[in-house]
Amino acid sequence: MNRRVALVTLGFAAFSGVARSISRPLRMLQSSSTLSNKTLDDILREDLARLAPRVYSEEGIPVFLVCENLVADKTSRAPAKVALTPTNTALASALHRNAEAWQRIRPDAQGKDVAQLIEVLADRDFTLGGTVEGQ
Amino acid sequence: MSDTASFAERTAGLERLYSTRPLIRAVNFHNASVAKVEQYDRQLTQYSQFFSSVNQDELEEYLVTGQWHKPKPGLIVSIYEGYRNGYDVLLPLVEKHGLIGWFFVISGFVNADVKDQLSFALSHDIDMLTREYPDGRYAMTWDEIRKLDRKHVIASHTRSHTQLSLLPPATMEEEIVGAQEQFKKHLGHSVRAFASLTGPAYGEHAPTDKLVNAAGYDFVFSNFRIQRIRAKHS
Repeated sequence: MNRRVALVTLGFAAFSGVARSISRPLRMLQSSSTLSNKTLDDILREDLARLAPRVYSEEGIPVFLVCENLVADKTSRAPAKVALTPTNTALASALHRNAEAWQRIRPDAQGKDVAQLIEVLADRDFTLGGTVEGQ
Repeated sequence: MSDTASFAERTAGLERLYSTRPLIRAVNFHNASVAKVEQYDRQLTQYSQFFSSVNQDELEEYLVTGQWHKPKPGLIVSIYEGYRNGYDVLLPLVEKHGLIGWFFVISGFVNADVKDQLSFALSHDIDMLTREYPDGRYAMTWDEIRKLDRKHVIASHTRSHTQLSLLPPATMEEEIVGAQEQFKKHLGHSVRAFASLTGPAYGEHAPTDKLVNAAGYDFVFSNFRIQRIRAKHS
């Protein structure tokens, strides 16, 4: 997958050196919404084929993890008040669109497949060197 | 998100979490073959350009506040099982690139006699596709783990790498609390982070939650989440 397509597919910021901006990821997110279903499906197929040969146990596999604070102590804020970043919106949107694509190209999708989808999204993000300001 | 949830249910649940919770990146390593050292080096070279190390206090602050205070986003380098090559192959690269390794160690693998380590691995879902140690020692030693403990994070990956929800209570206690006892014995302190084979996340399996609390873990890692379940030193 080429760099431009990766950026719009993930819906994340363009990455250039260490420069990051908030406006750019938003533009990329908007442009990603214009991709046709066929294009999204083709890119997902391509990425799945590219990642399939990985020997899972012998390679570093990128993932995203959701951080949850379940402790109610005086230093903690309620999760809803925790500051969120453009990454949240971008990743949630990317997951939504790519989950739809997954179900189009693999109608027999199962719950356990979600981990593989997250790995595809994370691989795109890591390949681009992370893409959104902050976390 | 239960084990039986459909693809649509799981993605919808994750989408909600992604929209409302702080996120962090992680890269998961297991059996790090020396034959792939250049590949790992390239990978960590790239990551270290774009991401920062994460220690336990930084993770805790991020979990509490959602604020990340380093210029580059954080990356948790997770190194699972306690393979000897985590020490021999990955550790030098992790340190070369200024990152912090999170070593999730299966205490029973480390405790197994060298002559029994291969069979222990094969019978406990520990991948041994590549076997590069003719002397048969495939797990780290406690001496190596103590050295790691000075600069990196040691975490519990249970005693024997089994699916917790399938176990009787006494065995489950050995896997969760018993593993913590091993870390206390060999490191002189308890470890803060816990991960089991395939989860569950905290809140998904009450008997596991109870034992995780009893063992005194602060963080629970699962497939999609890191949860802070206890304040430090509480």
